[in-house]
Amino acid sequence: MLVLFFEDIVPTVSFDLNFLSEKFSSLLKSISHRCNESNLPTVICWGKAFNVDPIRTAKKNTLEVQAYNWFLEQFYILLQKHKSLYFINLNQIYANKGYEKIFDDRNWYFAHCRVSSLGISTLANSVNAVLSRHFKASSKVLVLDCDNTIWGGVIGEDGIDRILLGQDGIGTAFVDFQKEIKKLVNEGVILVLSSKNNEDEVWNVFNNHPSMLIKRSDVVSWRINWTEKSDNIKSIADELDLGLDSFVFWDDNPLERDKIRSLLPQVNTIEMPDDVLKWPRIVKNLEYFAKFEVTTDDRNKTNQYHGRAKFVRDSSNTIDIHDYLKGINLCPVASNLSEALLGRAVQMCSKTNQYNLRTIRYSAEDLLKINSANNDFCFLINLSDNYGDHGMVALVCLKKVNEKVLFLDTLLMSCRILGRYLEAWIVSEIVRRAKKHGFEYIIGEYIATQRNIVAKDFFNTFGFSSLESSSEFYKEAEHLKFTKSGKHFIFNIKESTIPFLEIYEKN
Amino acid sequence: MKKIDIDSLRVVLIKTFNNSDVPNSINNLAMGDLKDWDSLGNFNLLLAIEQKYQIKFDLDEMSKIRSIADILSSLKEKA
Repeated sequence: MLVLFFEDIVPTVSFDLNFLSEKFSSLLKSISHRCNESNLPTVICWGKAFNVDPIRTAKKNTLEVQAYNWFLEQFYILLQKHKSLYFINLNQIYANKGYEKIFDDRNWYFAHCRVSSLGISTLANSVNAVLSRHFKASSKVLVLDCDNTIWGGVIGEDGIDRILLGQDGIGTAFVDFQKEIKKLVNEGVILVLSSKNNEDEVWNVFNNHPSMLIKRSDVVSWRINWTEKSDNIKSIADELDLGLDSFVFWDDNPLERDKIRSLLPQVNTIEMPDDVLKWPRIVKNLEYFAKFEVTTDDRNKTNQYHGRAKFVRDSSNTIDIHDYLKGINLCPVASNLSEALLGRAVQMCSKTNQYNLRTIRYSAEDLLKINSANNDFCFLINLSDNYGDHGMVALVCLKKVNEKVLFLDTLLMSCRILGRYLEAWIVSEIVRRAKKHGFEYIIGEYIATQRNIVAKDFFNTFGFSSLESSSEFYKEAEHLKFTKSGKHFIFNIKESTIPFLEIYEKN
Repeated sequence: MKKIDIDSLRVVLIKTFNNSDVPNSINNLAMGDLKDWDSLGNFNLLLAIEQKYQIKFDLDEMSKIRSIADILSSLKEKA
């Protein structure tokens, strides 16, 4: 972590803009160097300790501001080059608290510390937020109440004409609240409703109230009934196949919040003030949903989950699952790792917990390294079918053991497309690539975690057989550092066949 | 300003230096007597005291404080 204040590195009495790049190229190079050397995140905090005055900047930027901006530009160039580099603009995070509370001249003259205690803790909180997100993915699901949450009043009592939404004052605050929710949905947050109401009255507001910004199609799942919300949330989690720890719960009723907090402690329950006017700003700044970047895949998330829900409904009515799957135009496409796919690949590594054979959390640098050994060794799979384009849903990494043997280092799949036997196609794609480079065997490992039980039978189901630790193959592969508790498997390219592959064979 | 007693001051010391070995009687302690109570540690300690008792030292006071006795007499002047 590097904390830099403009005034501390640029002598502000007199300086020349032209000399900045000459003078500071070594600083920028050393940041680059550090990022290349280490996979650990690097955080640059950049600020200006003295504010600009209105008169000197009324006609044009002062030399100081120009120089300060030059640094900003340079940092943004570095950020594009290094995936594990993060930037915190101190002036932006300090603006919330106010410069006079943040900067402390006594601390400067006593200990060469620019900021006050508040400045230190604000800085620490921001760094903590960025690093937490580096190591842990954002939450996925927002559970919303309806009455007195997305509109003011109680629909069952007040009726559609008298709920507060869109009129003056507090009614506009509810609209702004919905606007922020809508933005989250567009960024890939899955919106679900849990509300104690009569269902048709709620949908009547969604369908007919002119000021409703959240549309029925934004809501992926709902439990509008009189059952306990904890039961409702659990059943939504089962339906979506997502862990409760990726849920965030927003309800105006403190009793409901307390119940969820004690019954479902994994769920992140938001404690908000009673004052609705403050809510839009709170939603906007909810750290649970903040991400470094929003990918195309994120933007399609709501559609994908709608498709998934429909798939689950349709397939449970179908008698012969194989015939059914053959009829839904499954179309997988493999793409080798590229700069454009790197973000999605890293995201999948960091947040796929369930269908993940070894749960190794690779960074961008790690993946590039695997890819540089052979660019057939790291690929992503896009899947589309009658239910929509599901986006990049699987990642495979391979490593060479020796001339004949290839190791399936990583196979992970997004849970939303489970049940399509995509694994069979993935194994065939691995085999195709292995053959191309002359390999004869593929070995694999399953490392059990608390979350990946769904992937337990992958090897047995899709043509692999057990590999004993006494076997030659196992010994050859020892440098891969097999986990003692892991289970090991082998696929003989010449002899083994892949069950269920017929689903993917075109008629 | 909040009430100052020697026990609460001892808690500030333990928290600041993340040190459970702070002796029961701290009256005679001075800079250098505890691990991490160096000049940077001293700065951290004074900031923690300011926050805990909601007071503010000026630059001159800060420069002179080097022991628990100094802290107590400075706090007494502010009371």
